[in-house]
Formats: sequence, C-alpha cells, structure tokens
Amino acid sequence: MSVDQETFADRYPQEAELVRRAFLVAFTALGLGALFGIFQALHRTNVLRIIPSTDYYTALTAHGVLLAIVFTIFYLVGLYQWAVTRSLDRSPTNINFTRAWLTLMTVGSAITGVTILLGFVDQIGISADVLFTFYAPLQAHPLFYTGLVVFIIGTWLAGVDWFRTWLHWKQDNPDERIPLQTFMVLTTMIMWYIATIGVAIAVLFFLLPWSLGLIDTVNPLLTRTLFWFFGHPVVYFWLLPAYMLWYTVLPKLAGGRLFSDPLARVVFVLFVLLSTPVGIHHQYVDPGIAEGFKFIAMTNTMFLLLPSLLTAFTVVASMEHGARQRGGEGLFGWLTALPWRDPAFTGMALAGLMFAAGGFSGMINAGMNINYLIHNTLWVPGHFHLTVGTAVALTMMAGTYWLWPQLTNRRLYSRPIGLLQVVMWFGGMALMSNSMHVAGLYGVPRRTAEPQYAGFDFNTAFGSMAELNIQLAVGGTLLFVSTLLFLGNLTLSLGNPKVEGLGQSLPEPLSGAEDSPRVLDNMRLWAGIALVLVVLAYVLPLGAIIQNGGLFGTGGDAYPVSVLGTFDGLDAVLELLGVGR
Amino acid sequence: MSGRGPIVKTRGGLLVAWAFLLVFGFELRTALGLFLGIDVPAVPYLGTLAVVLTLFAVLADFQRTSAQGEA
Repeated sequence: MSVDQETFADRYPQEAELVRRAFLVAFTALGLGALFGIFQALHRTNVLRIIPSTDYYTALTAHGVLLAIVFTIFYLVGLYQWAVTRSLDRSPTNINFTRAWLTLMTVGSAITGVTILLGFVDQIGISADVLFTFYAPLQAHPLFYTGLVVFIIGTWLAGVDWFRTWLHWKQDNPDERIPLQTFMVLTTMIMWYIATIGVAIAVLFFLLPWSLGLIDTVNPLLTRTLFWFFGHPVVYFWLLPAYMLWYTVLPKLAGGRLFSDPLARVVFVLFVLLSTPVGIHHQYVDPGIAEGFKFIAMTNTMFLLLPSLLTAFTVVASMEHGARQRGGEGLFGWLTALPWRDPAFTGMALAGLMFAAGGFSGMINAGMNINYLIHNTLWVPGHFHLTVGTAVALTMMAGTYWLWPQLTNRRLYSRPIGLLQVVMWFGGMALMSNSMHVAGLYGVPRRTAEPQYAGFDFNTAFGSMAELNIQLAVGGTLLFVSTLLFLGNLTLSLGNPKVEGLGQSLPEPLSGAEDSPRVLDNMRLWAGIALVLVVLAYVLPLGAIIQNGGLFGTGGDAYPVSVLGTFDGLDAVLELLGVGR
Repeated sequence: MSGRGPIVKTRGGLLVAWAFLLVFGFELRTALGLFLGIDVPAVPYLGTLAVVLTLFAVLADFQRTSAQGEA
C-alpha cells in the first residue's frame, strides 16, 4: 500500500466488498459446520443425542463439506483476492469477472450444501450422504456433483483472474520480481489446477453420469484413486493460505520482518512439485494397487516434510527477530516479549504449534507399515483436526482479527474476547484431538455413530473409554463455544462506527526477493516439472487399475503386491499406445 | 525496519502460558500412560495441575504489577 494509514477498504472499496462477501460465505459455513460438529461429538460419545443415528452420515457429510471445502476455500479466495490486489497494488482487470467467479462458487456451494441438508428430510427423497470423501461406492444425488462442478469451475476462473491481473502487472513492470504474496497465490493455483484434474475426471466422467443413470457401474478403485489424486493436494490448498498469513502477516504482528523471502518462495515451489504425486498414500490398504506404487507414494510424502520444516524454521526465526526488536533477550527469554495479548498473533502462534503436533501424527499416517495400525480409526480425524482443524482454521480466524478492520474500517468489537476465543480453541482441540488419537490407538473406528459395539470393550493402556469420551465431548464443546465467540465478535464489530487510521502496511523481508535466483519466478518451469512428476507417479497405477478392473468395471483381482511382478500398469500403457511387449 | 519498542508483558502472555502448560501437563499424562504404562488418575492430577498453574500465574501477575508500581 502506498499510503500507510489507508486501509484496503479505503483504497480498493469494490475489492474489499468482494473479500467481505467471500468471508461471509466462509463464516456461514463455519457456523453451520461447527453445529454439525458438536452434534457428532456429543452423539458418538453418547452424551447427548439430538439426531437419530441414521442421520449421522448426513451430519458428517455436512460437517466435512461445509468446513473442509466451503469454509476453507471461500476464505482462501477472499484472502488471495486481498493479497493479489494489495501486493500488485492493482485492481482486477475486470471486476465483473471477479464477481462472476465468486457468484459461481457461491451458487455451486449452495446447490451442494442444500442437497446434503435435504438428507435430513426423508420425504423428499434427495440425499448426498457420501462424506467429504465422495468416491464410489457411495452415491449422491446428481445435484451434489453438479454443485461441486460449478464450485470448482468458479475456483478455476478465480485463478484465471489472478493470473490475468499478474500478467497485466508484468507488462507494466517487466523487470520486477513477482511480489511475494502474488507469488504465493500463483503457485497455489498451479497446484490447484493440477490437483483438480483428478476430481474433474472422477466427477464428470464417472460419478455424475453414474448418479444420472447414464452408466450402470463405475470402477470404485479408479474413482477412489482419482479422488485421492485431488484429495491430498487439497490439504495444501487449505494450508497455503495459512502459510501466507504466517509468512507475511505474523512477522509484522511479532514486531519484525520476514526472515527470508527466498526460503518462502522455495517452500511454495516445493508444494507445487510434491503435493500431487503422493495421493496413493491414502490407499495403503486398498487392494488392487501394487505395494511398489504405495512405496513410491510414501517416499514422495516424506519429502513433503521438507517445506514444512523450512516453514517452521523461517516463521520461528521471524518471530524471534520481531521479539528481539521489541527488546526481548536471552535464549528463550525473547518469547516473553511477543505480543501475546493480540488475538491475531496468539491465534497464529498456537496454530503453528498445533501444526507441529499434527505433522508428527501425519508421519505415522504416511508410513506404509505403521499406517495399518491406525487406518480407519479415530486417530485419523484426530490428526486432521490438528492440521486443517487448527493450523488452518485457527490461523484463518486469527488472520481475520487482523484483516477485518482493514476490510471494514471498523475496530474489532473485543480483543480480549478474541484472545479468549483462540486460547479456548487451542485447549478444546488439545482435549479433543488427544482423545481421538488415543482412542484410535485402541482401535476405536471413525465414521460411525455407534463406536462402542454391543458386548465389546476396547482395551485401554491407561484411563478408560468413558474418560476418553468425556474428554472428546468437553473438547468439542469448547471448540463450538469458541466458534460462537468468533462469529459473535465479528457480528458485533459491524455495530462499531467506521473510523480512520486503521490501515497497516506489511514490512519488507530481511532477505528479499533480490537474494534469490530469478528462476524461482518461472511459473511455466515449475508447472511443467510438477506435471511430469504426476505422470511418473500416476500413469502406471492408473493403467493397472483400468486394465485390471476396466474403466467401468466393478472389481478386479485384489492381488498385486509388487510393481515388478506382472507390471500390469506398463502393459496397459503400452496397449493404449498400440505397442506390444 | 519495525520500531524498537519496550518489552510488553501482558496478562495475555500469562493466559497463553497457563493454557500451554496445562496442555503440556495433560499430554505428559498421555505419554506416561502410553509409553510407560503409568496410569495417572485424571481428576486429581489435572485438578492439582490447574490449581498449581493458576497459583503461579497469580503470583507472576502480582510480581509484575509490583515491579511496575516500583518503577
């Protein structure tokens, strides 16, 4: 921003209005999703049963889709619209185009959301109880898939809009490096375009025609694999907006500057390259995929720890720099000089801390052998409530405390309530995810309204199942109250009068873009390499699945344990190319 | 360059430290149970931990307020 005290809403009123609209949809989904979350937490622990168990899958689907798709992605597009406009200091090329993609996304979400919620009304006969992981054999009403298609097209157009704005900026600034926030937006969208190839094929060619009755059967393993082609990188689509806030806003809140712009760029490039060719690690127990392909996916997944560890280093270094700028001293004494009273800072810092714990449990999930211990148990929701449920969601809420005044020219209603809210989220999630992880180790299944089977007691290493259930219910309740505090605080903020002087700038990094090679800004190169890696990781497994079960076949031999056995995938590819072996 | 300001010690820091140490103590119980098989009873352990941490927080706040008053 060229003028320090000017807010984003002052300088770009139309764009600020669009960001607010995106956030409105995001926070509506957050409220609804949280409601279904508390239903589940109380239901499966048998503390309070508001819905019948037969509606559990409807609530679970609504919870997953509203939070993991609508909340996160609408927040992302709002944040990224702010970031592109702010960092390029430029309006979109055509604001009506921006309005159009946001409208498409909203309409698509509404269609999908209403279709899911209709599952509560049996008389209507429309339902989509297919969970967030909407692959076959579970089948939804065609409207579910239609809404999803409209939504995803909206996100694609959002990317087109941001690339177009950048290209126009580039014409005016041919020798300039891409501003860091725009760099983050562009790399995220390259990853998204590649990732959504899988879900687009799955929905358009298989699931939607199947739900419409145009085809009788689908190959469940194929749709699962195509889903996870998209389903793993989507977690980075959630995470990268949080990373943007950690890299570009958190250092400012800490009182300092980003430690290294080049490291941030390297991290985002690594996510473009590595986030997609790993999806098969979600299918370790799927029959029909050779163990060798799973091993390759595991290896690629472990490489993904690198950008996260680089981020941990860079963000903590930036926080330490900020603390020392504020007078902090000593090996750990600088921690006391950080602005813990600020809910934006504290929320992001605690989210980062929780992300480290989520990373550790993620390594268990990613290991081929140890994954079998926790597969389909409550451990897995315990893991992703730390990552998307805290690292992402808490960072987004905390980031809103900083962004909101600049989008509305109104002060936050209450910073102390904001602080209480983020600390309550941290405590609630610690309780809930801990109980989920521990219960998962005891073998308690996920995705069921009745985890305690009749006449069966889970063996516990310490404590008791009753204690874990209470822990989960209390944690879930704290999270629900925290969500209400967040939404209430924002709503009450709208009653504050508009004031001037709320604008804030973001400081330049300690080590800027000029310290990094220009090749990092070569988007074509990274997109090309990422596509090659995806081809290497997926062509043979997909070829083998199609050869074994057929494009629309319902099954196949659950046999292959070695890539080097019959090498069916290679045969299938050669067959497609018309080459014999 | 951001402005170099004085150390700001607030009750926010105390609240976060209190919550963090409570969570840390709670996770320690899980580690003792899962890794060493030591079953620490939840209610007395967590209750005592909360009371002790609250006392420390009140003392730290009192000390901070006194130091500010003397200054």
